[in-house]
Amino acid sequence: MRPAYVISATCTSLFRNATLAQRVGASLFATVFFGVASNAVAASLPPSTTQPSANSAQPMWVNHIEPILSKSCFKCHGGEKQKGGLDLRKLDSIFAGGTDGSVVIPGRPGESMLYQRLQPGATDHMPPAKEPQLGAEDISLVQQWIATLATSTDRVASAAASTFDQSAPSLMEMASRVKWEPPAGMAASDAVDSLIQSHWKEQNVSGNGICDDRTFVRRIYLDLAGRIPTLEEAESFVSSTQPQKRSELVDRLLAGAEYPVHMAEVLDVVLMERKGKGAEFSRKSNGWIKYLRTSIADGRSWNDMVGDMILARPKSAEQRGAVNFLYERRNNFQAMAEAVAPMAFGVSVACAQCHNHPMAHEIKQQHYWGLVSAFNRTANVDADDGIAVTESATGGFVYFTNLKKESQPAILAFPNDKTIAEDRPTDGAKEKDSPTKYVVPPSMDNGQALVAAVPKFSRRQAIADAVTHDNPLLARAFVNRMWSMLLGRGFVNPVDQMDSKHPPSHPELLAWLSNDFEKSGYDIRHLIRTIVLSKTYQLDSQWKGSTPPLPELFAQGLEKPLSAEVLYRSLLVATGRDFKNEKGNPDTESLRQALIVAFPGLFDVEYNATLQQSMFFTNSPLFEAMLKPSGENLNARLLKLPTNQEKVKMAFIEILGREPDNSELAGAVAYLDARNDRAEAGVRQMTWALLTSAEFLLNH
Amino acid sequence: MKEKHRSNRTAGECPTPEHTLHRRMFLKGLAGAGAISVGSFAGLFSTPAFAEQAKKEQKHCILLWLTGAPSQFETWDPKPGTLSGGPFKAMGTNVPGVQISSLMPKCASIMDKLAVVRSMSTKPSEHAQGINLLNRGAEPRNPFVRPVLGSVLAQQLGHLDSAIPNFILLDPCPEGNEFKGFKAGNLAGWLGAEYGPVRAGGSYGIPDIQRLADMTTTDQNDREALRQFMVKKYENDHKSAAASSQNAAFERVKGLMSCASLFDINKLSEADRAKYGPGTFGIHSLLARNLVENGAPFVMVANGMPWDCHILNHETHQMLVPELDRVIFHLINDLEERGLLEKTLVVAMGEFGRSPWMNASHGREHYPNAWSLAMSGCGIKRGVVVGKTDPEGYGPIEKPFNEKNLFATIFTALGIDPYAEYDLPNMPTFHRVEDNAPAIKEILA
Repeated sequence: MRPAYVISATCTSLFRNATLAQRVGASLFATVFFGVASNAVAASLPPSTTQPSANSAQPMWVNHIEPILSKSCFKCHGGEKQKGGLDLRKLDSIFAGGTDGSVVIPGRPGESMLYQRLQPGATDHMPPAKEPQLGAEDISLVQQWIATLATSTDRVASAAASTFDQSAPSLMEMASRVKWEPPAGMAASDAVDSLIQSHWKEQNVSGNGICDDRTFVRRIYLDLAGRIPTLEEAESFVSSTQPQKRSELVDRLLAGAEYPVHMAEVLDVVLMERKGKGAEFSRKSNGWIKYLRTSIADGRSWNDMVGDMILARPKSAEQRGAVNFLYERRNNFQAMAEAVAPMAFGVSVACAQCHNHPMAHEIKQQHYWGLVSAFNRTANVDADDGIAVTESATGGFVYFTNLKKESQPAILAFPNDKTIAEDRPTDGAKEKDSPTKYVVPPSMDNGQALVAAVPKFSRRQAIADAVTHDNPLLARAFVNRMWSMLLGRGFVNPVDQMDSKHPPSHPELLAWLSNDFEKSGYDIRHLIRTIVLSKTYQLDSQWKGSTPPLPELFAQGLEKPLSAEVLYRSLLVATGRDFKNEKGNPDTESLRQALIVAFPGLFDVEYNATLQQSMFFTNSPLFEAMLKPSGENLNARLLKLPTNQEKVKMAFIEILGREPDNSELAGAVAYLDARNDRAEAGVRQMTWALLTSAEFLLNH
Repeated sequence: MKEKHRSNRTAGECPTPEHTLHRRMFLKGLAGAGAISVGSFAGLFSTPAFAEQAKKEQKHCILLWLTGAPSQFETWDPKPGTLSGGPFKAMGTNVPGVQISSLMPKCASIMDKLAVVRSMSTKPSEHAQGINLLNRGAEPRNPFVRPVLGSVLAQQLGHLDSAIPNFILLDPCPEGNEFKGFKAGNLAGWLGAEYGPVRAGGSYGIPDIQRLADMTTTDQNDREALRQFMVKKYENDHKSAAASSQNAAFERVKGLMSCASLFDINKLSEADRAKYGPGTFGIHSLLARNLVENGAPFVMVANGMPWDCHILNHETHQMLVPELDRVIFHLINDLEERGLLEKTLVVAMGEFGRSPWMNASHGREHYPNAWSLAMSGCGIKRGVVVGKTDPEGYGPIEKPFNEKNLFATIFTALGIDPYAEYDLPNMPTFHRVEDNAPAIKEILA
């Protein structure tokens, strides 16, 4: 038994504001809560200091309102009769209202029919004149009660009591509603286009045609190699007359060495978030980055990778880095639960910590604490051969408390309708830990675990199985993420809120792509290939009409901001650095770090350029250093060209991958001509302007 | 597609920020937004006399944003001796008959300069929605993103070519739960990124604010002019909202660089530091005073999210309220001494109030039904309290006001038409304040 688990879990839920918890002081915090750390912590918390009727709407309902309504109203609005379609016996039916609509507007007694009709002299006064009337005190209690319903606590408590909440379809039910298969013989990428384009028709939109080769080669390099193509790469693609050159290039990039590096960066931010230089260092030394790269390069299936991360019991040296997924969360089980949910089920569950999700009813508080329980026997171990996470065979039986202060046991129940049966000790019973409960028993030295113990019943194994087998939500979450990465927006947006409040823009396409991904053995390359070979991915991003179509129609190529890493490598390519051998160069490494600070975003819901970014480009010596002519870099080569016209043309083609149009050429040449007194300054300002232009900073 | 957006409205209530969607629609709005602006001041500044006149007439607003929501019982609406009241007493003020919490003795001594509203009554009871509502002044209507107060005032009171930023958000704590989400969201909304905030605060200064050692003003101007020139083709061809957003960010660089020293807390005087106290909220309120003195139209001072007292409400307020008391006292007095109070509106508020009852953790819960705020300065009557709550503070019993009444009051006090229409292409008609909601006339001078 490890009571510490109970404390940490429950107290965090009480402290919605962690900084406040720190401010109040850990010691005071401990004296308040430590003494009552039993299984039913919250249920046995000291009672409120004020009278029960004011504590929340619940006791008021029980003590006052229900008795009043029972005495004076149930005769006609409950039991045998429900006049006006109104049943006043239960909270949920009160909130459902009658045939005339709502009778209670939380917090607004004056606007609530239930209170209005009680007022002396009201139209359609209740109870009817011949019936016994309510006293002034009772009427005022009803008013007070409706007023208190305005607070979150009571509203959510009321919602929790409603039957609507319980009957909400689950994520699994919603995911299985829509099915679609392409006609026999239709290529996968054509299937994508057929659904996208039929949606255009429905919406009366005519989408763009596919983009030209120059646009495509830049777009696909940025998406799959994580950088712009070099001039040679772009030219050889554009000049090729091979009819299959786009799919050949896609295959070459997916097989190349840069794709795993780029994908590992994306997955790292998605799964671990950016946590600064320290975390970046430990992720490297713990083998996490290498794990991601190797797994992507080897084409491991996504469900196996997810299993590696959740189970954290490496079967080979290559898998050891996966342990970092749990290890970096430092025994914080809630952080583990909150990280697993978007990956495994496509949803964020943080909302459900203190109550069922207020909007998406299918995400329940018991799922949150079920996910927490899956990890709360886990602890970090610094074993001789590297990081590891152990698992205890006992303990971790948490109780969680809803806002009505009702306590319930957390069971291993997950948002994909799966519940893992587990023996639970009776309350207060002492659970004995023993080596017989383990496959690999714990080995301790002075309280320090030396090896990662493996219990015979492993909760982590249970959740890993529940997530990686027969779980269509896993594929849906990943497909939505990849679609968002490649198309600039998910079918569901924001990407990790695939719940009832965020229906997908293309339910059939999401269902079919997910199914196809699962059938392919969760083959990431297969999924990416299907998407990028579609016409939809290759649409021109320019829009000739006046108002561009809604982005969720995918009727034009959407602009995608470059991630910090992609921008970094593209800057190296554009300024003529030896981008493949920059590793270990302290100057460019500082530039990379600075870019990560200025451009932290990835999968942002909305693009907003920041002043910080423009300040960086304007005044950062690190960025300026890229413009300094040296060796064979871009500006050095530009300065060797005899005419300003040639300089402008070369700068455009090297940086933007296209020729300048006539007015651009004339404008830039005019500037360089005027700056002939200081040719180097002229060239620097021109390349600065091109590198900071939207055309360079975006993938389009 | 309209139906679809409507269905997203409820989703917007989830604490996760979903201030989303489709800036493209506002593309033209960037130009159109100028329709209700006061016009360009660029011409005016070429004549020194005009520039001086413009500076004299410049109005300002300082929003002391008390994130997390302070308790009205421990500030402006004490209920001593009742179940709601808590342990702190009420104290008399220099306005006969008006009492405030005994945690605010300094404010009690300048009550004749303040206006207090005790009957704020709003709907959202979660931070994300409350913070948005009380900063934007209306319920969300996706996908249209209403600008926050700071952006509206930046547009109305500020000048795009002014050196000092028009909307400054001083916030020493970059974190702050739901407030963090708000800060990361789209604050300027349909007015466009140029009306978004410049953020600074605490030990994190404004990075890259100093000009490069070997860079001349000429070269810097040239390269920015070239950048704008090179971006045009792309921006037109793609109807690129991203490009517009980047342009707006670049346009603000020069102005910000020229007033770097105003953000430097090391340049504050010792005497001022001693008055405002050692806390970051005090230091940043002092910075706000200096920024306003130097022409900033709008400064918002926040400090993470300290007021959310679900645990140990009284103890926390005992720590936080005295600092607030001191800051308001000195800020109002300093502005008055400098002749700025007449032209500067100061508002101190959070996103809602706190519950009359205590929870099991000796905290107060969120309570939007009846709460208080304070104002002073430009356009505001002095020494007045409006609105009344019932004896235990459960609800307003006199003159309830909502966010729309509040915004109408703020705009009116600053001489801005509260009901002006936004003339934005491809968008429904919006007003600065919707529904012609009346201002709180009792506190308007």
